Amino acid sequence: MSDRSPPTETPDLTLHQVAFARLSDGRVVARGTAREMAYHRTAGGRLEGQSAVAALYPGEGTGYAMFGETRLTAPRVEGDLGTRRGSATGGVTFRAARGDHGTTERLLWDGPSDRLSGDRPVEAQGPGYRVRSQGFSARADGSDVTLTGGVVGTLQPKPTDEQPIPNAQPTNRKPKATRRKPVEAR
Amino acid sequence: MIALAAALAVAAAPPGPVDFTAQTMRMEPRDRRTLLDGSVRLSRGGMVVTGDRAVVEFAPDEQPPARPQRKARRRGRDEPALLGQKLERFTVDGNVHVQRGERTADGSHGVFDSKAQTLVLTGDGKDDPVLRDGSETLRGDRIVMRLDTEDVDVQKPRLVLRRSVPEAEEEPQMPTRVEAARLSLDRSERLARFTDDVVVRRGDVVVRGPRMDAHYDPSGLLTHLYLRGGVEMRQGDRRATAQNADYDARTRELVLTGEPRLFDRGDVLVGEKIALALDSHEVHVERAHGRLRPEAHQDEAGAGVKR
Repeated sequence: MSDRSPPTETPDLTLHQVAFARLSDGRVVARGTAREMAYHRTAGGRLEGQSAVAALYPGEGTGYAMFGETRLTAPRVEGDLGTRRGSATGGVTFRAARGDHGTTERLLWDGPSDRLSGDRPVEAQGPGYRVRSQGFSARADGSDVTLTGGVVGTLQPKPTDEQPIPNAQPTNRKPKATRRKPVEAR
Repeated sequence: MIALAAALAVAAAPPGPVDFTAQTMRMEPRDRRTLLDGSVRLSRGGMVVTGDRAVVEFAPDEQPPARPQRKARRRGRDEPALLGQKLERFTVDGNVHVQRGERTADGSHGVFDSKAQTLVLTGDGKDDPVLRDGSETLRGDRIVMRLDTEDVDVQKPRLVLRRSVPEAEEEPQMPTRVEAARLSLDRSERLARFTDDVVVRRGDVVVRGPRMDAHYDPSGLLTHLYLRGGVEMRQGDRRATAQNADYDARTRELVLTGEPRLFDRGDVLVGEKIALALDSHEVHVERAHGRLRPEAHQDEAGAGVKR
C-alpha cells in the first residue's frame, strides 16, 4: 500500500473528542477515542483521525489471546470505507496487559485480505522475548504473524531484562462497563 | 584426539536466553511455534547454531491448580502461543553448523531440546553429521552434544585419531581409525568410551573388541587405548587374541593380557603378556610357550623377534 498524501479538500464532517466501540456477537471487542475525526464523502467515504487510541479485547482462541487487553495508539489514522483499507501513521504503539509493548512508524490494514502489515522498522518486547525487524505482515486474527526484512531478537531473556507493566490485567478479561473514561492520547 | 575430551577450553553452556537472527520470522500461535527462515543464527551460552531455517516450539503454560468451582479453561498445549512462552525446542534444518568454543559440528538437521539440554545432530541420509575439534574429525550416524556438560554421545562413530600419535615430521602419517556402535565422550574424565563392535585400524593392524576406553592428556592428545572383554588383533597373516589389549600411543606398542595367544603362519604362542610394536612388527612374549614352525617363516627377513 502506498503513502496517501493528505487530502486538501475540506471534510464534510468533523467530529471532536470521538469515542467509539466495536461489538461482535454481543461483545465489545474494541473501543477507542480520537481527538478529532474527519469524514470525506468523496470516493466512497474516507475517514481521517487524529490522536487515536484503541483498546482491543482479543477473544479466547485467537492468536492474540495471550496478550489480553491491548492498547494501540497512533497520531494519525486514515481509512477508506469504499476499499476497506486504512493506515495508522506517525508512530504506532501497542501495549498489552501481559506486558508486551512495541512500536512501528506505520501500520497498514487491508480489509479484503484481512491483513495488517508494516513496511517500517518494528520493535517489540515482552515477558521472555525482545525482537526487531524491518517490517511485518499478519492476519488480523493473529493466526499468523510474520516479521520481515531481517529479524533480530532474543527469546527467554533473564527476568531482570524485562520489567512487567504494573497492574497488568489477566488475559481475556471482558471490559468492565464502568470503564468509560477516555484514555488520553499520547 | 581430542580436545573433545580435554576439559579446558569451554565452559558448559548455561540455560539462558537464545539470541536469534533470520530473514523472516513467522509466528503460528495455534501451532505453538515460530518459524525462522533465511540465514538463521541462534546463539545461547557460548554456542552458536546456524542453518537455512528453524522451527522454535514453545512449552505449554504451567497448569494452574484445579479450581472445581470455576469452569475449566483450555490450558497447555491447546492454548495458542506466540512469543513470551518458555522455549521448549528448536529444530534447525539445512546446512546446520554448530560452534561451541573450538569445537564445531555440521549436519543437515539439528534439534535443541531445552529440557534435556541436548543438541542432536543428524545427517540427510547421504552425508553423516561431523564433529571437529582442531584437527580431529568425528563422524557418526547421530551426534548428541550435551549442553549442561561437555560430553558428547555418538551413534555408530567413525573417528580418525589424527593427533593420536605425535609423529615426527619425517615419518609418514598413519592415522588411527575407530569405528563402533556408540561413543560417549566424557570431557571431565578426558575419556572417550566406545562400546559395541569396536574396530580400531592403524595401517595394517586391525583390533576388534566389545568395548574400548580412549584416554587423553590435558592437551587433548591420545595417551592410551584400553580394550576389554575379549580382543582380537590382526596384522597381515598374524593374529592374536586376549581378554585385554592396551595401546600406548607414545610407544605405539600394543600389549595383550589375559590368556593372550599369538597365531602366526602356523606358530602358536601363549604367554602371560604379548607386546606388539606396531611400527617394527616386533613381538615380545613373556613366559612364552607354544608350537613354532620355523619352516613357515623362511621367506621373512628378520621380521619378528620372539623370546
